[in-house]
Amino acid sequence: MKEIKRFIDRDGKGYASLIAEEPEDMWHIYNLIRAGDVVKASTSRKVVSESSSGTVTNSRVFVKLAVKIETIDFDPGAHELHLKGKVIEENDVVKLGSYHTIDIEPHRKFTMEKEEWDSIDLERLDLALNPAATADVAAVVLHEGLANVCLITPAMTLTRAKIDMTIPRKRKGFTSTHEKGLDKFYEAVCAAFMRHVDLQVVKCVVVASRGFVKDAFFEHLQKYYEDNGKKLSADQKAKFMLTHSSSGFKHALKEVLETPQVAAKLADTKAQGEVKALNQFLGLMSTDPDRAFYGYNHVNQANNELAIDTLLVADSLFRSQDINTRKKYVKLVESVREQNGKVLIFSSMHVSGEQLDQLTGCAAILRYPMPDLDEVPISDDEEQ
Amino acid sequence: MSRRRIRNVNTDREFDPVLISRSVNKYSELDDYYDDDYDDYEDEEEDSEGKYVNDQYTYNRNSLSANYYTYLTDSGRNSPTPAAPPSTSQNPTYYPPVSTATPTAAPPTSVPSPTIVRNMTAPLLQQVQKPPKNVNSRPSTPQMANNLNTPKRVQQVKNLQTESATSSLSRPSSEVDLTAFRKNQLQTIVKAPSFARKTPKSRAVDKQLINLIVVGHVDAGKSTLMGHLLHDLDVIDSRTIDKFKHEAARSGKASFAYAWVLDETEEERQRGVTMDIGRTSFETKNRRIVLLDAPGHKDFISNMITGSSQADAAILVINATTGEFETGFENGGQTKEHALLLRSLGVTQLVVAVNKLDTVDWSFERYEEIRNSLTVFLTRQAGFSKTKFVPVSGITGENLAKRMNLSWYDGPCLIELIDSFVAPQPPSDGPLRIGVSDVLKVASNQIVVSGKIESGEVEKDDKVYVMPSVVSATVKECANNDGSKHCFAGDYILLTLQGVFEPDSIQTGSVVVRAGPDTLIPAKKFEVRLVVFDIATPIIKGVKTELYAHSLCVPCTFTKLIHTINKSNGEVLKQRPRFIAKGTSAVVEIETDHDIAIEPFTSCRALGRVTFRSGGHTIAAGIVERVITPQ
Repeated sequence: MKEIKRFIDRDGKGYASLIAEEPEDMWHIYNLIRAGDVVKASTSRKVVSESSSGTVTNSRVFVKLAVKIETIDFDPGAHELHLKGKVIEENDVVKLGSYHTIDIEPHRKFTMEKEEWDSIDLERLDLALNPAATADVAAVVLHEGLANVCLITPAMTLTRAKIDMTIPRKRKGFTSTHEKGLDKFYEAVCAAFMRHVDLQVVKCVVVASRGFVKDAFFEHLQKYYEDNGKKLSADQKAKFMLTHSSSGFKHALKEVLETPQVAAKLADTKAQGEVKALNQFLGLMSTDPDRAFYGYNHVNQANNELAIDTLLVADSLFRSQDINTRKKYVKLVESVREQNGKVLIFSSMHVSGEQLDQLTGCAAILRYPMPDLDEVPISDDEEQ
Repeated sequence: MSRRRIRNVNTDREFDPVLISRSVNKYSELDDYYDDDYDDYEDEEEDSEGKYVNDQYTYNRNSLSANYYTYLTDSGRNSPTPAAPPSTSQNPTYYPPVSTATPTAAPPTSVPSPTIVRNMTAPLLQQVQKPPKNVNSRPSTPQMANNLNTPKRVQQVKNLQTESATSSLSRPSSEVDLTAFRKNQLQTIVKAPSFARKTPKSRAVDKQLINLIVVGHVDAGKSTLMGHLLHDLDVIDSRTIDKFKHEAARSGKASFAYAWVLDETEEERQRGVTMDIGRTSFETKNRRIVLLDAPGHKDFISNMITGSSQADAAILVINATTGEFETGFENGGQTKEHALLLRSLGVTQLVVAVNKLDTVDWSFERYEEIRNSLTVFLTRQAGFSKTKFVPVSGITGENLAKRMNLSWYDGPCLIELIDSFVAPQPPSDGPLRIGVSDVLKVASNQIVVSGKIESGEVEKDDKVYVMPSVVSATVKECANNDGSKHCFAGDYILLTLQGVFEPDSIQTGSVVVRAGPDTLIPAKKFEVRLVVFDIATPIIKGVKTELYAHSLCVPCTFTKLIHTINKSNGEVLKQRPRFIAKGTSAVVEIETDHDIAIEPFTSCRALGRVTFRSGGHTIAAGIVERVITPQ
């Protein structure tokens, strides 16, 4: 993402002019925008005009509109962001107060105005502006009959294709149906892989499965590329990494990111760091449960006692439409930072973030054990 | 097109009892046939078979038209009174909750054909609004209430016609959530009355049927042991064995010859590892045995679970070679995990075969050492009682079918122990439940599956439903491996279903049921009572695992930790625990991504047992306490 201009007051009010460049930027914008913000962008609108003689003409015109956002719709698969709201600045062709939906488009300038940019917003904005090369990683996790072809970007894990086929089991006296079924399955996965993964762009490809499926798949893939006249070069082959996973479900990606050889290659991706932190939390849960807590109540109490060493928060909490919820968590994050605690904001588009989301979205590793905390009810919004 | 269907319907032939005799070889011929059929599916013409095809043609046309006739008459009779089958509307008080004889001459087609479904859903709309809890309640009350408000019903029919029109436009695909259409459909299925069965619900049995699974650590010699046993019992002839020996020797794996009897895929033979369940059958003096040979490698435990969920008894094979028993038994070995899995899947009869004793010169000390450490584990931790031990050698064949002369052992040989297994009493008068463990052949109007009947019985022309995708179908053919066409609980059967199938709507893990009040309602939220195994990280809320139940394997999430319980007396220890540590018992709530077909343990034992695995380890096992239906 590129920033053209930023003007933010000391009290947090202000605007920023930005240009989205990559698909990933849409995700950042989605995390920045909340209902009530004002977005100015050039957009197209159908205008109906009636001439004096009564003829009606429809035309599509490009106009620059300022819209106060009411609903936000994000499509992670297509990287599209639709912002709907009321027009708040008068315009030649659009009436004040009429509704309009702005699609944020890449490579086109737009301005975002907020009543208050809090620390989380600013952090997210800086993150989005960081031009560090995005380490795109493709991953294929599979077992017999199920495969997920995923792309792992710094902020997101996207399932590009899921292949789910029933493969007849081996049976007494006849095995060819099983083998044929497997071949068909590999064929389908190869086709999906070729369609969705650009080997020029991705830094590495992780193929993970149990047993011998990964080897068989890699063999098939090489043959498939060759048959389609795109023989894999030595360079491209070197990008592949075969590793073990216990199944082909998407959550097996977590295991894959943990394995040392993959970890070494992906050292800097956000996904990796998140998995590591979450594992530390889970490990502590079994060895020293009095130092690992989750749920806002517990974590907040620990924070009041200045006990938090590392805070894990899911970014979904900051997307909350309820201003108070958001404020609550922003305050928590700021207070932990003040105490020199580490704060990790998990992307809910990663496997680890999904799990943290389930775990109330908020967890903490403490500096010292707090056994009394166990007595306090966890009390989540959904409880009872 | 018509030709294609006819080729399809040919499967009749396979169920000819003459073809299917008790020998394994014949059974495999049947498989061959399936495959042949599959292969020349697209073939336009085969002259050599011309005459034979003609025969089939006449035969099948008859059977087909007969089928369509029932369809037509059925819908014709039902359409004027769209509410419920006529018998009930005339006689509202008479509504048998269980499948007893109905006085009317209604055909045993309890399930309405697709055309009626829409009509049938109409009057039941008011039911739909109610929480589906009623679904499990006694069928008589809502049905009667329905019959009393006929005028109201007519009005609703009108409403519903518009609604059903829209819902039929957006016909749900296999995995759609409970849309209105699906809800209606499910309600209809539940409301459909059960009819009397044509034939008696039992079979004269000469020999008890045992589903026997062979488990153990990788390379314990499971396949070899069983291959040799089959050879000794003359199920596999010497010629085949000689062929295997020859081929195996040529590829440098001479010792794998017997294993090739069960390891049939090229990959398995090449790698020398069993990867999927090998299945065969044989007979002993007093028992009929369906043998399941499980893979031992830890990557294929999912297949082992699928097999074990169908088993009544098990043989645990131990490798007695120095050092090998220890690796298999200590942490990371599969011996313990397999034993615990068996127990949690409800297998209680266990024989331990101490294998490869020839490599330690039939040492009594070694045998005793293994026996002692295993006995402690099996009785104390796994909870097996009366476990029997037998020293054997799979490769040389001692003590398999014949007793051997051993100074320190004069007990029964392996086959005698197998002969002493007791068959469980499966409830064949219960509701029909067939767990689909394999989908063999799929066409748009016909599908061939195999699976185990967990309860109930099934025969040709039955109308059934496949859950969780709620697909209606007619049983075209069914046969167990004896060729019997009327199959009962406990049988492992091949089932040919006819209906309209969307691709992948029927998968491994589906369950075949009958309509009626005791049908199975698929759901995605369950309350499960479980025991946590020896795991590194405790279970906390939000953990994603794989859920295994009968042949099913799906991802699931622990959504709520309800309470932990005292293992010995069942007392609640702590409400809403933060985590569940290893070795504890707890009640939790789980949720799957899509609807699945499992039900409370009390309704059907086989469909109520669940196992959770994560990261290649079994983390917990338990039973379904309650299905949480959506509001």
